[in-house]
Amino acid sequence: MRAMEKNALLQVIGLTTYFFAFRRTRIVKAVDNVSFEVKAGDRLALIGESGCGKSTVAASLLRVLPPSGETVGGKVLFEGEDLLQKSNKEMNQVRGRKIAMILQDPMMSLDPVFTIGEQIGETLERHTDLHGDSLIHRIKDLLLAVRIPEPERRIKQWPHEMSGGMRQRIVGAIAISCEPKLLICDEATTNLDVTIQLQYLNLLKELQKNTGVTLVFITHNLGIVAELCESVIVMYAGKIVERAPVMDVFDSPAHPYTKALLDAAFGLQDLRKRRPIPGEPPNLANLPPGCSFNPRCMYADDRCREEEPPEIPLAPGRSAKCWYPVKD
Amino acid sequence: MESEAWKWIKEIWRRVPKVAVIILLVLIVTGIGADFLALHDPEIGDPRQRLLPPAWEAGGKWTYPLGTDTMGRDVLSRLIYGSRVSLLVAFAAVIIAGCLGTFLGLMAGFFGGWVDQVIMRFTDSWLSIPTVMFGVLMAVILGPGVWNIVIILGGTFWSRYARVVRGETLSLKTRDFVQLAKIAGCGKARIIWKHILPNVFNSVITLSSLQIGIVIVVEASLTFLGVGVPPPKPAWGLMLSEGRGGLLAGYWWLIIFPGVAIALLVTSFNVIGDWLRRYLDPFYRNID
Amino acid sequence: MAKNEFDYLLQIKNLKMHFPVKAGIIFDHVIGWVKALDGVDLTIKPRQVLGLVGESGSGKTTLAKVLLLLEKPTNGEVLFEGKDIHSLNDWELKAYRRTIQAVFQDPFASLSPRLRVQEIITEPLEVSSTLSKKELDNKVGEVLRMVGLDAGLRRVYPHELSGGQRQRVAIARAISTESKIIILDEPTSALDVSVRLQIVHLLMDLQKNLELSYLLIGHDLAMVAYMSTDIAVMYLGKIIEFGETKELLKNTAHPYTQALIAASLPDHPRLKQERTVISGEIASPLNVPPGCRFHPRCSRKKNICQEEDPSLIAVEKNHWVACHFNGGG
Repeated sequence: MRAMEKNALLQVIGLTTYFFAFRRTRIVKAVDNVSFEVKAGDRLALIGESGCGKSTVAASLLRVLPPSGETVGGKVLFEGEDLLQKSNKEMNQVRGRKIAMILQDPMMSLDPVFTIGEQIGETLERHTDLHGDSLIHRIKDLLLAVRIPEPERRIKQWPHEMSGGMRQRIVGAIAISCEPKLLICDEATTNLDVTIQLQYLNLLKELQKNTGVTLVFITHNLGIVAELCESVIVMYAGKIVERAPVMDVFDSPAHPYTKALLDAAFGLQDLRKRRPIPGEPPNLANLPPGCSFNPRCMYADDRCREEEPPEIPLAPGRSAKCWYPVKD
Repeated sequence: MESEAWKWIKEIWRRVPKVAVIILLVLIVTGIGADFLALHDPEIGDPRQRLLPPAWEAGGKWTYPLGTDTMGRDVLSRLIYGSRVSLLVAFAAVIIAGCLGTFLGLMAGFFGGWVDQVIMRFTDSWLSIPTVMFGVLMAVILGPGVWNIVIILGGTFWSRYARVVRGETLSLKTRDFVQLAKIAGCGKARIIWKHILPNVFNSVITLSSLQIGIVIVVEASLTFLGVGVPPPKPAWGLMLSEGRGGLLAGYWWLIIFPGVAIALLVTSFNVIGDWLRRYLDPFYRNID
Repeated sequence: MAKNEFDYLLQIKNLKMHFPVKAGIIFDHVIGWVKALDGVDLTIKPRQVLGLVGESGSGKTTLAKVLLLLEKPTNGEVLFEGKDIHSLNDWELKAYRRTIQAVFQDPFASLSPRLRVQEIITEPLEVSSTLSKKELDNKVGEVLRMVGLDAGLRRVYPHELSGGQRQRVAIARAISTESKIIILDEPTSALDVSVRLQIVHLLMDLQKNLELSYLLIGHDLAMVAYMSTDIAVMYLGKIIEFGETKELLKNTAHPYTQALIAASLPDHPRLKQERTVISGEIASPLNVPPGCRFHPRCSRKKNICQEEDPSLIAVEKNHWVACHFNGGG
């Protein structure tokens, strides 16, 4: 048990979320005893592939899991209070206001039958007591903050009249409208074109500089991590397998999975032959015994196949869930 | 070692709504095995045994477990044979409606353009015709008879299939695997037969199981009104119409048993249809 | 570019695809044109991996559709063995379809859900050739092995396979007709990150062993550069830069290509730089700017850029650019 950091904005302790199918006969351990901290002002990356649990972690702490999902254990301490203990009514004061989230597909996040102004206004009306002219003024300010020109015209427009990049910026405007302390971006730029993606990442950096919001970026794209983030958490099969500052992750990854991801990633600066990761991502309903990564790990031995490794601290702020963390 | 088929059956059994399936199986089996199960001839009765109450009542006989009707015919035997008639008519009608509707829906959805327009306007207008009234009209024109009623029912219910299949076809047409089939050089017929039809099949099955209930009720209604299955054939609708007068006179078994039978059959189909809709839909849409 | 028929597999000449935009309730009239392709010249040679890069509206997908005979161009021609692919007779058409195949982005949508793997794989052969059942069976076993799948998977349905396995089946199908050109449209974007490189290496091995040509469409410049021998960059329906991969990356000439490279994310946090992103949104093919189509977003534009649409000019032996400042700064 680590001592609670004074400037930890969010502390997740032992979060465990399962998905139940077929009348509880099949259990998918989407998130398994996950603990981490987010410091105020940080830019944290939560990396992993589909099915590793990263999106479920976000959904768990905002308490927006689908009906088949249930958080069965753990604590989520935000500003000193456990979010998992709050009632739905209390959570409604947190969602959008204290913690905001941007999702991957802006067309799913925006309602096609409401104008941009109405959608940004909706969140503001809910959480602040702005109305009338001051409300419109704030909406315009928000549009400018996300670098959308001609805000007066945009307020009256509909989502389908805008490009993908613009829509995602509108989603961003809605997200920051109530000045949240924490902004979670779940694959927020995956659907955007390359040049637009960079604009958006720069926008996020700028928003953080201006408002001090803490960013958690959920992604599978190592380039985004290199470009934007300062701390990294790597997830695999519902568990955290490595945590480290971003430089350390790229310079000397400790967990074989992290190393494999880096070895397999394409890089424009480096067109050398890369090394693929053998095998397939794990089936969460049927995980192998021992370390979940062992079927695909080139260093795995009998111990890895029998006993699940604990998280081994390697340095302040660094740890890896591996019996033989790669040392450099 | 278990065979594949047995494993598959056990899997399905674990998931189906068991009560509905059991009821349905019982009704189907009795319908098929009517000749062996029924104790008496359903069409010819013994007038000396007329209007006997069910066996557990005073005056009832165990050789006529559910009583007899005004002509001395055994109610239970008539129920059993009637099951055969109702199911036969319902299945036949649904198959005709399904084939016709699916074909039209495929054509409309796949070819689009004026083919689509013509078929859909026709379908829409057909859908707006009140079913029972139309059935009565057609029955008067065609005359009574089991096969006539099958044709009438089939000719009424196809339009719902056309709608559903057209919608599915439209969405399937744009999917990658259809594009890839075109790229491989598949002709239109092959694409419809191999790629579109098998994938609308699920919806057709689901729709059918939901439709059967309605078809049975409409058939019973038409028979009740005298324009469906003609007497002396045992049909539940006929049993209802013949037993109508008897209710007030106290001969409740003439109506209650056929009524319950219809209700059980229709409800079982509806439950299974509902379950099919939930079970088949996400499974094949969300292949993840 | 050689005129000899046998030197190329496909020759694309001045290909245009203009979709009319109609308005009106009863009598519709044309109010504009979506210029998805606006004059594309390209040659696909044997054993070439041609990467096609571009953002939304660039026309890369439309180009693929035209080559696959899913769309008919409004202008220009695509020559296969000397004849335009849209005017082939039945026999030639079958030969063309055997030669060119495709693998699409989404492995979950590419395989027909109610067909078994073997039926999916043999479909192109069944349609465009006359092989016996035994020969087809052998083919299935052969291609499954080549893509690294167990031959026992032939009777399996797509929903029983993982994304990576499905994509392998799609690839098996594409090579089953002994094709020479495979159009790969974002073949790994929908796959898990850990599986992507497996598929890329599979594609590269197949290309070497079977002497295939690929038209590789992608938005990830790093992946396209990794696989391709040559790269063509498209913007609003035209190729604005084309060249051998290493040369293009080293001496990038067109401002848009430079912007694409600048916008790509760093390999390592140490390599990140403050860089100016090009301004503005990606223009729409509905409103192609006059002159050079990139000029509204270009930092280097001069008057001539608004007036004249530059054509592709060679700046090196293997490097062409469509820019009035070609070769310059």
